Amino acid sequence: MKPILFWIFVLTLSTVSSSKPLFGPKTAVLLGNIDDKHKYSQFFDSFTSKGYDLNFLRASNQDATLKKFGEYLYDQAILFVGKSEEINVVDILDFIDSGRSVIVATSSGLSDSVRELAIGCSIEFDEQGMSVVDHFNFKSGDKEHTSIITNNFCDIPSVIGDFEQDKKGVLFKGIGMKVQKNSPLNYRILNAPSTSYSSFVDEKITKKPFLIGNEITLVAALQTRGDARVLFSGSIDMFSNDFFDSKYGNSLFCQEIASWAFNERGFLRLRDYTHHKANSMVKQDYYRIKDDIEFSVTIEEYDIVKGWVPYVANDVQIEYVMLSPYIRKTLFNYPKTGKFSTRFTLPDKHGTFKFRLHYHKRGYRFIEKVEEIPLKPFWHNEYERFIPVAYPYYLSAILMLVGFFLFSIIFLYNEDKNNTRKDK
Amino acid sequence: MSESPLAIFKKLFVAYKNTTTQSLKIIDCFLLFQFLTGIFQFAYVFLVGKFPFNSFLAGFISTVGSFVLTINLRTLVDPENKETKVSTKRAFVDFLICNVILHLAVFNYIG
Repeated sequence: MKPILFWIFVLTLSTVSSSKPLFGPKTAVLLGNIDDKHKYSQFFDSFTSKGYDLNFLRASNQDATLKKFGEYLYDQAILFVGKSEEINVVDILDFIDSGRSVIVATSSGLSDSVRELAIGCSIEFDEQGMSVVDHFNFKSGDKEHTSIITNNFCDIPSVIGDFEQDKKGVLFKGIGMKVQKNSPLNYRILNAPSTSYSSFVDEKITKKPFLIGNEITLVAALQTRGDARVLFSGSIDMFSNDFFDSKYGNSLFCQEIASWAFNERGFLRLRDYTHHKANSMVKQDYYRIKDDIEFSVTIEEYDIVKGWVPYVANDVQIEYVMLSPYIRKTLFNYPKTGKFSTRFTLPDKHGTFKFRLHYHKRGYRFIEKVEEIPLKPFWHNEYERFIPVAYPYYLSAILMLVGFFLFSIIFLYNEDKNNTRKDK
Repeated sequence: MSESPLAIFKKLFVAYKNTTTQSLKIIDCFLLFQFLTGIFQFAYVFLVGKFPFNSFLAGFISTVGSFVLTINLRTLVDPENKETKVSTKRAFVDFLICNVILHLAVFNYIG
């Protein structure tokens, strides 16, 4: 009796936690000191409860490689490397290039190798030893004013997820970075308040600091063209249990951005990409000018619990391009199936055209699908037989002919009254 | 002369009526008809534009070509013309053949 109940209990437990990370559960966690992992236990437990399999490694250990014999051992990675720990930058950049996501958190004592890794992702950290200081928005009881509270989030719903409803401040203690403002690949997720600046602690300011005010980015990300997401945070303490237990929104914020970084939100894929002439289902290699065609594609988004669910949006567009777009239409969305489709008439100009689906929404995976299809002109017998504009010309030519016949009859049978004609 | 223009035109018209033969008058009628058709087509293309340019050219050439051929017929048939030595019948047959060729070309080009 008892063993059966036990096994039933175990079975129900395993069906409850059925969430599947997109790329796979194996996650490498590189820490400076493995014993520190209890300090961030709430953060790490949020991953294990979602089905990730965390493997804790020491950052500067020679055996902490992500790749062995050409195969990647892990599907994503978390790096908590403040305090001058060196990392293998080439290894990690290669890991990112393969499409695997990484979360990197560092602190004021960051090493040159972490700085180099960030530069490889277009993010410039401040010098080693600097901290972000704010004399107006700091945690009460903090003498050095380096534990700052900020409300300056980006407004990308896909990245910050559920945090949008519950926008408490976030507590941060660490180093700032500089990220280009309008970059298509970089995200400035959390910025410092306008009253902050970056300097050595307790140092008198004699010249303008490298970073001041809203320019200072505290949490940034890079989404590569290979669909990897790299999240950089200037503070490891932001993820610690102490900061999670404070009255600020660290717990929800960190979990939401980490879930975005590991592709639990905003990861799209295309399926059933077709185009065909409007009233037939046959897909052709070429089209003819002024054809009516129907274009449709299904887009799905990955949800860690439900798997691939239909994507709902009203801003996906298809372009019909030859050097520049001739047609650009917004696709009509069917929310239940995730199908996007539209109908349009091909332009009057023949040539080699492309169907281009170019969807770069902030916080979502890039969709770029281009297909070249030739557009042929009319056959010479496909033109309209009689052109209405030219009816007067047809009429005049016919009239000339008819007039000629009538004239010749009248002329030949004419007899002059006074016969002054001389037959020469 | 100190006559009004209207009197001059009336004199011209009366002289024309008296001196030209019936057959020439028939030819002149036909010439007028071709001329007006040509003018009408030209005005039409001026207003509407050159879209089927080949059709416009074909229609216009049919009027202008017929006009030219008819003028030639009139020259050869006119009894007061003393230089040419072609008979009326020969002139008319030439006119016939040329018109056939002209209209063949026109209907091919009109599209």
